[in-house]
Amino acid sequence: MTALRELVALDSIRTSQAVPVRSRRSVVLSDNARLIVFYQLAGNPYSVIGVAYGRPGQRPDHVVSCPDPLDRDAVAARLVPLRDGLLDWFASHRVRAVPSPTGHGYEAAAMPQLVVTGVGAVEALDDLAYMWRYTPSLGPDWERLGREVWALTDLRPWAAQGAVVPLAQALSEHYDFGISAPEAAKLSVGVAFCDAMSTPAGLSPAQLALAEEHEAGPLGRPDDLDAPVWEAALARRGEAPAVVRRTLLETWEYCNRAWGHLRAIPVSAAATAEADRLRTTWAWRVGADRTGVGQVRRRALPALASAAGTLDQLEAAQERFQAAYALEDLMVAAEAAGEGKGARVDASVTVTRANRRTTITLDCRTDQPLVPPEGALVGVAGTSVKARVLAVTGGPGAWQLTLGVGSDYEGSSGIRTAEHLRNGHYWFVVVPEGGPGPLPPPVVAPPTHPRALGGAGQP
Amino acid sequence: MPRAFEAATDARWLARSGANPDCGAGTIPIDYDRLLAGTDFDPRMGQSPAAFAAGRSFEKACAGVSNSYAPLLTALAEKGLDTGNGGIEIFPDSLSDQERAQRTRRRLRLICSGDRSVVLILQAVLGFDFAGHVTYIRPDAVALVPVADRLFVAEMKSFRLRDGHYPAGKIATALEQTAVYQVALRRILIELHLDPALISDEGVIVCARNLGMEPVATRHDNGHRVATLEQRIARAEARLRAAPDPRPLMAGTDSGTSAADRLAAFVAIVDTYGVAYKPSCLVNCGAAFWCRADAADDPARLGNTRLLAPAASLRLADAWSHGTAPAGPAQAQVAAHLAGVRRLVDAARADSGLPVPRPARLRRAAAP
Repeated sequence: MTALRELVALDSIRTSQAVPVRSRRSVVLSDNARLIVFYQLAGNPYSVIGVAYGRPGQRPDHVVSCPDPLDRDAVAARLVPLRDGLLDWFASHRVRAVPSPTGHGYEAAAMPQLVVTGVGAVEALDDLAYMWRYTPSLGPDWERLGREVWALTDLRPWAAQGAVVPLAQALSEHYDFGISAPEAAKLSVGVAFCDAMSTPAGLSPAQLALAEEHEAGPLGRPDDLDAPVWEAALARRGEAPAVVRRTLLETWEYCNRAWGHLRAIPVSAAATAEADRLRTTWAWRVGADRTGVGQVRRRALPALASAAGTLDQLEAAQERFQAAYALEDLMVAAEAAGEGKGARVDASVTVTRANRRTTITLDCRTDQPLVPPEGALVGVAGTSVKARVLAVTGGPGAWQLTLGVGSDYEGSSGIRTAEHLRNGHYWFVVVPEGGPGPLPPPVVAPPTHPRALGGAGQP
Repeated sequence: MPRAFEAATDARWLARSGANPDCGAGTIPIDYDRLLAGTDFDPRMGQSPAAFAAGRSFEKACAGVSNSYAPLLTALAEKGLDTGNGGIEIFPDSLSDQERAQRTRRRLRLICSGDRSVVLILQAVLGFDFAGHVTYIRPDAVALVPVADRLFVAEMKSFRLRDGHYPAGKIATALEQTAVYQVALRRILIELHLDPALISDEGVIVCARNLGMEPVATRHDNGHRVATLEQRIARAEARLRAAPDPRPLMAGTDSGTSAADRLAAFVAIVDTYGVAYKPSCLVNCGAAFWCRADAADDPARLGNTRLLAPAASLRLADAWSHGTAPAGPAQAQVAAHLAGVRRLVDAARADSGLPVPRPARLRRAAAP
């Protein structure tokens, strides 16, 4: 927990309301997203108790209850309308082949976005996608759906990803509720705190208990949902108990409210930039899947090297996004400043010109507890300026920092913008300096994999 | 028939025992789930019959059609745990715990002496001394298999190990439970004057492969968990020996007692042994809701905190962040840090156009 989150938690406890910790949203929400609410039997990852599906913020298009959640064929038969709806929606996101160094590249104008209750649902959806792909008896349409869903769930680790949005985690990233992390993971609790922002008295203990009770129902208290469903399945009643539909609709309503609270936050440009990159990555993956061209030509790398390369790209994307996000959203900058990775300073700007060389120095003062160390590269919020911390003097509560921009200071940039900076308050945050990129794949096919295409990769 | 609230010191209890070393009441073997049922702090724990059925179904798959456990032995052999051609021994449920524990000990002694006529033990009961009492743990879906000069604990879990997905969290939880059996087995070997190192440090988790029920084994170095658990159990044992006997406090309290009286009995336990709430208690302990309400002003209820914890009070920390001077110089640094971060947050809110929460007093802690 960062110092800022600890302090905001106090504000939330004091007001019994959700308190914003971000002024910009870190995930792009699509106007054409689809929300899936589903429940499974505990300990049975390929079961489906029921599904609600449609557009977030609206009523569900389909609400399906499954009398026998373990009968995969019967479940699949009931979910045909949902499958067809999803396939049509996926098909509306076209990918187009484009020239690339490896011969097979793809691009798309838009990427599909699935919205689910929380990270547990992402994992469950991934399980279902796996089952749909690899159960031949279900037929090719299910296999296709499994591939499409998997292409999205596989993009989950990317920074600011918009492929699959787990609502509970997205809410708790943007708001603090003054509760512990395990409690904040409950969607209904987060939504209740967010709803309470519109009431001066905040969330009452009774309302909080009710929200906790909802989540304790289907997820944490299986005897409320699993037991009647299991009993009905064993008795072969051919009809799911009413609690399934009721629970689906209640959860749908919580999701809609969470969606509304998230959409109320303006989206950050940093997230939009990452979403554009992710769309290209998705197009490459799904394009190969849809056309069958370009998908099996990446065997030149052993699995571990490929995983290491992906990890490197993920880390780079995360660093890039965090730095850009912090320079854009001052709440993120304040969070960094609370940890000594940024600062809000009162700066006086000096521009020195000698012949054709220009050097800009910012003499800064701040009363915050911690500041970035000497030598750090910092970005100035709201500008493209990157400056080097030249000197740090003073102590907690009274720091003086000297920042430099110019060719003498390695890594600094944005001198034309810096020339126009005026004396005043600035936020700055430490930005990554960039290291060596990932090792490239071999340029020629290794003898062990003669059919592999060296140098193949994704953007 | 009214039941007392004494908790069985089974594998689950032992695994949790000492998980929160600061909590006195947590180390007392009392079933708080049942004690607080029906009160305002009812833990509302439930169990899924479908999850149990999945577990049983997987055990059947491990046993194979002829109950030979060939699929399980094949899965173990695939991972280098070839047990040879010995038989299997399944202790029947009809026997009492004491009888099964004695038979288990006999078999363990034989196996550790090199006898390989039996290479798979199921439905064993591990009886050993814990805090002066003989404790029996019944490891369901656990096979004990001798390979070379070591005895391995193989736990059957019905979760899936499928292509492209490694269930790291579930395997870690299963290994915690395996560590309990490893500790228990080592204690038994010590009582039998055998070398406890004969119990392998490795834990074997057998789970279902991909979409079906075919068992697949994974081997994990579990030595660090075993060592940690041994320390935790030893500490819990020492506390239990030193603590006053809880039975007088629970005298006359059973499942027939009213909710109010059960709550009063629980409060008496808390007064005697003390509690220390952490958010992780919500998944471990039946008394967590009471303790959470009791800890309304305690920073620990938010989890690990760096700035709030030294204040020991949320209200005090809030006051410090608004500029109230701390009582002593020792707290001045934390108070200054809190006030500094407050200024940063307020400035960021003002610069971003976000509303500043009204500076009201923190609500008083609700008395449980």
